Amino acid sequence: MKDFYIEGTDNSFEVSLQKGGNLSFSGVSTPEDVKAFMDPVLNWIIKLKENPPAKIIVDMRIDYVNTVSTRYMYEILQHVNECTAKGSVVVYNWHYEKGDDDLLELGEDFELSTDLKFNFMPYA
Amino acid sequence: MDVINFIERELTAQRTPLANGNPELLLITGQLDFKAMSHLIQLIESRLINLKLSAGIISRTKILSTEIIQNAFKHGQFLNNSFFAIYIDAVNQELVLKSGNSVLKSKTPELHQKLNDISMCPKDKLQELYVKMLRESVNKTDGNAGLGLISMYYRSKGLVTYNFSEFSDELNYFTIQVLYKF
Repeated sequence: MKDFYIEGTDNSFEVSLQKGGNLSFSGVSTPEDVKAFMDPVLNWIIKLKENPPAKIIVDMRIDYVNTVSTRYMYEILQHVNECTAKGSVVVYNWHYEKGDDDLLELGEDFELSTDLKFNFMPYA
Repeated sequence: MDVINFIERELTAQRTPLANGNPELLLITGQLDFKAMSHLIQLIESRLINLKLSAGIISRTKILSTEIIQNAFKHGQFLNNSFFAIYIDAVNQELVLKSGNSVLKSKTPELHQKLNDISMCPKDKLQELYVKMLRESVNKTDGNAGLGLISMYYRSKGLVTYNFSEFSDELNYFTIQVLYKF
């Protein structure tokens, strides 16, 4: 299994997935074909579940996402969380610009919908 | 009547009293394709930054704009020529986002029903509805069950109004307005 990286664009996330357990998503996600963009990401995570690392850190620094991407992120986070069944400790970090309550709220919605515990980390 | 003139007339006729006499932040009409969508969001962001609005307001506007534009794009995909207009104004601690687009008459009842159902949801239950529909939509392949529309209502705290008017034998003209108080 190799690390996975997709460079961000004006309408798609930068995605960095390292088999050592550092997973990050940043930027915007409104790609023309969300499925084509997200399926390889999802498949990589599903593969990770077979032999997950002891600790997984998910860093999300998201500007905005469309609803289809939101569905995929929900699914991706659920798969990541299933790594806990094999003993992994998973940490979810939601980064947002200090004072940007709306992006904080977006993170809180993700936290609520996934039933996962997020760390909310403001940056200046 | 020329379709662009029609769209501009519709949107400007619905300008809110608060916005009267003030230059709009953005008024764009034309055909909507995927490239235009991305460009529009960036344009909206740059205009908001110029107004020195807070990061939170900019984020909220981008999120709402994305939902509005993508909804219009979705309906435009059913048409040979999809006409679209978006109007944004930020005045007196209120942000007004309006869009207008053509919708097939055959698709109108479904859209109308979704909007009607969402509008019946109490404001304090919109987040619950959003989360519920998000969870239910994950394994579905047939659209989002109106998740984008729910998001508009939820993120504007229910301050959404909409209208359908007849445009031609096959098309209706759909306008939606989202108000956001900051």
